[in-house]
Amino acid sequence: MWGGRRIDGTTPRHYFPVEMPSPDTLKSLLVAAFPDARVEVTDLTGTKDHFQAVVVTRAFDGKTRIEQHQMVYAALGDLMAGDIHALALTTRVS
Amino acid sequence: MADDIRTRIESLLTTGKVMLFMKGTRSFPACGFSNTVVQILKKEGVAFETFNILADPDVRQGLKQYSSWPTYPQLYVDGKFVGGCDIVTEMHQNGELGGVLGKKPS
Repeated sequence: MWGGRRIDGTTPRHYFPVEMPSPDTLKSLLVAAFPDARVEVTDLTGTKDHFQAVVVTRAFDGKTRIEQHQMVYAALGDLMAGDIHALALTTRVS
Repeated sequence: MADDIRTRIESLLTTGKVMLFMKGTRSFPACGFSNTVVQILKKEGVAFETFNILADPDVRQGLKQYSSWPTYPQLYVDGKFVGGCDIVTEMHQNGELGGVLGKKPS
């Protein structure tokens, strides 16, 4: 999204365009990490920062739910630390 | 992670048997997901303590590393990580949560 001039006439520090992740960005990261997976990603709010993801893969076999979610977070890496504000997550073994 | 932060986190985790690290407080949750877990714990009818991570940037960052979990809320029982909003909601719905929280089967 584009920043602009503030109402008081000053320019914010980040006036360059900030690339927000799209559902496709998340999906490609997840498919790269779990090649056999069925992945569905939805942008819940249309603002590219609240997502819902369903990941179904053999890689989750034998893992606890916590471990499955941790694997997804690891695959998304830095996006989880900043650009993604919320990710409603469902994981299942295929 | 710095040792003093790790020590603080480990002592915080055992402040209560059931510890919820959340955005805001139980009376004024600052996030819908944190609020969801507060409401679930109230429904389960167990005593729980909350810690507002918005008021403490060191704990907010440190606990994410400690648990390898990048988001809040985070629920702990007896110092052990149980899950975030999605997992706690699922366990509440399928009836697992009561046992984890140490409730006697009724």
